[in-house]
Amino acid sequence: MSERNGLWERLARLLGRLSLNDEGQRTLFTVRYTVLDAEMTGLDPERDEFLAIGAVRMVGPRIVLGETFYRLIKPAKARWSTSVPIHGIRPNDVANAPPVCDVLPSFLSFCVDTVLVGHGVEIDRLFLHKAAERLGTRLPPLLWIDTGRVARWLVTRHGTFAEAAADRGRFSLDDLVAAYEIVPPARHHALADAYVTAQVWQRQLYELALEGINSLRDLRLAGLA
Amino acid sequence: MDDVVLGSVVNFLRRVPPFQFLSDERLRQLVKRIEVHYFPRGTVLIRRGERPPDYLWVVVRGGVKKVLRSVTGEEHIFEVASEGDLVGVLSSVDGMEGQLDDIAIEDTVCYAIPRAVVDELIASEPAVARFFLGALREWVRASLTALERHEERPEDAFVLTAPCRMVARRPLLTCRPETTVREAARLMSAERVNSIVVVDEEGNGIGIVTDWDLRERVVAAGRSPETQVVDVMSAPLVTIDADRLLLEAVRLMIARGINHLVVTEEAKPFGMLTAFDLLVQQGTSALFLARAIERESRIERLAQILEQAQRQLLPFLLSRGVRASEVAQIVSEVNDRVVARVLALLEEELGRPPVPYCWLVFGSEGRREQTIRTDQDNGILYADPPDGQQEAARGYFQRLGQWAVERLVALGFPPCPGRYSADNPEWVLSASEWQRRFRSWMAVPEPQAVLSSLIVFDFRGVHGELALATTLREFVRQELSHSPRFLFHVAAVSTSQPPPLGFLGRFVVERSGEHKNQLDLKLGGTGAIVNLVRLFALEHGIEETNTLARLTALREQRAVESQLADDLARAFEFLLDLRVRLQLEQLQRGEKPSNYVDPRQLSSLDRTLLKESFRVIGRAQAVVRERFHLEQAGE
Repeated sequence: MSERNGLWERLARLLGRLSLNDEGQRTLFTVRYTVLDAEMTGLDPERDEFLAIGAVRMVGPRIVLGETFYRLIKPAKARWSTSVPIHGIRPNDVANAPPVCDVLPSFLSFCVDTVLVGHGVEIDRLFLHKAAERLGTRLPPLLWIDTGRVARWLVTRHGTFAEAAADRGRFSLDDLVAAYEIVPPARHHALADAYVTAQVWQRQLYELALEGINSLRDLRLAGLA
Repeated sequence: MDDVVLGSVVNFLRRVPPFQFLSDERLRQLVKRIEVHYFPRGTVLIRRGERPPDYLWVVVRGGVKKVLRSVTGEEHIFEVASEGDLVGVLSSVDGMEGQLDDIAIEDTVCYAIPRAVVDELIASEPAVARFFLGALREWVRASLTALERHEERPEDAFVLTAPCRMVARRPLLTCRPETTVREAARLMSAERVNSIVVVDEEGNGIGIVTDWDLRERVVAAGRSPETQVVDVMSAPLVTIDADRLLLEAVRLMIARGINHLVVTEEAKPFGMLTAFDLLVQQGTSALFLARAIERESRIERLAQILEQAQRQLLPFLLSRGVRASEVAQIVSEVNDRVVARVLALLEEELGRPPVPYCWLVFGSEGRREQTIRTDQDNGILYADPPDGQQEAARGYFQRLGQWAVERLVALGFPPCPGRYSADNPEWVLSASEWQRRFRSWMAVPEPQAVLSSLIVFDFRGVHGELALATTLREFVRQELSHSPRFLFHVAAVSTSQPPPLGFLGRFVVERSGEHKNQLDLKLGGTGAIVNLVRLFALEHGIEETNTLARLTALREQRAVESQLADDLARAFEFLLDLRVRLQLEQLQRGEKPSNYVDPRQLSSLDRTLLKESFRVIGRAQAVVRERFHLEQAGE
């Protein structure tokens, strides 16, 4: 465990480099992002666990296909019944997968020096915090961007009022994928969803720029990070 | 395991040359080194003359136009790269600087292959190297052709959209009014032309003497060859400015029934344009058709001529790059001639009309925007008869209307389902009855009544005493100037149909039914523009009925912001053109022409322009709503 703790220290230090005070001025078009999506046994961070984490790298608006992260995770306790139809991961599929304590450090090293982006990323954040807690440690400070909230902000801020009214509550990943005419390689697969989310974020970067939101600081001022 | 994403990219590239030449293993390695880029519409990927880009792009979705801009700022589009096409080939092959501007014409997704990777591929894969070499050669060929085309400009311009200057015969043969007929005839035969223009001391054209004038007015009339030309010439001179289009010349010749047109520059005669020149131009000639109509006295032959017009003339003109709006004007001329011919024949059958009358057309015919023949919208306006003769006059014109509509139906002009036609006594009225009719529409504006009367506001006189139509137009203009409530209702009705564009600029298509996944190009497109522009025209007392002519007038009066007027005109041209092209295709497949289109079946360029056009309509409707303080539709 000491070795792992040493790693934690190092990761925390590296991730801490993104503290907002000095890095907030960085433009959204040069920041490195980790766009992630996860599959869980359910939606309750207290009782449910990770089944898979997928992530793709973006450098500014460019999606780098060579840098991806995907791991299946074997949960400690099985709570399967309700979620299988959604993600399609069966007990058999993860029987030989590593436990979360092995996957989390390698995922966090994938995230080093990046801003995390996800659709409805709050739930992923809670699960990551919980997983770190269970390992007896804390998640390093990270910057999180939720593409769902960005979408709503973009429409309510610059869409016409009628548009916003007509489309209220229509910001699911599926809706955005349809609106942006993105072709998903697959659905409800953590890596595929992360890739699709990256494509959404790619478009939102340009739309945010049109609204004068160019840096992490601007994003934070708009309440989006 | 993580093949979901890479696998989808590999599957895509497997179908794209030159990547299709690579082994699966090689392709997999390649994909791990590429990126996914996104370019919003209007982004410049490569700018001519600038440092070559760091990537070779494969378009996954969207489109990128490759453009060469001439010194005059004219834009030549070499090609549009769409799904599976490459952008930046030349630059990535040998580091050539950008040769063209490469601009995203819609939101575009590309796979981006770093140049270093491309270099490795060329070095290690002979098939890839050959492909790029071929692309290079192809580009050289394409640019040479484009250059040639550019130099051939004068030849290329031998189409109806060229200015008259291009085809006008020069020098122009002229003589003075006191020249004798003998001398004029000698000049004409020496120059081997069949006309001579008569000019005054300042060089202003005052008349023309043609072969026909010599034959009919001198020889046949037994006049002396010493007669001065001023006594036999045709005057006034019908002229057209050298910068006007040949198309307009054709229209003018058809409308006036003449064979010679003097082309002027700064109002001075400059050259001669003859029907013959234009016949040579056209192959299938609108003029020829018009002449045939003029001569024809048998209805069934007219039908054949019209059929020919629809089957040959329309596709011909469109294929020669003539815009749909211009084709529509020619078609209107032809149709007007047919109507005039039919009425002239009927007047012989029914006897002379008791009072002067004018045949009116409404709707798209009134606006000269009909291409594919749709239904007839027409009526009769006759001068107020003297006391005691009202009933006789009414009877005569109702019969004339009845018969004329029947004949026109037989000629292939479909009857009007809404009965806006002259076989309905409601549209056969005397001048004062018409005035009362218009006044009642404007006095009690109910939305439904407004809606159903609007197409009548686009009336235009076609045959008979056209001054009657002009007087009625002036009356309507006067009445409108003190009917603000009516205009308010017109504004409400005219903005009630939003363009079919929704959330984030997606097309709104029918969800079910016969037209599932299609949208109506007329209802939310051309129709919406016609309604908006008619509103502006009525508001500002503009007498034109043609949508583009209305826009020009509005622009000149500064009644509509010039940018908006231009955008609306462009959107209208585009939508009309798209509609006509699709309808022609449907006709050729033996289908009934419809206004529906599935946007997915359009080229990416058309889709982009379509969205652009719909956006313009949305903007114009917002302007109207604001000006008339209208609520947003559906709120």
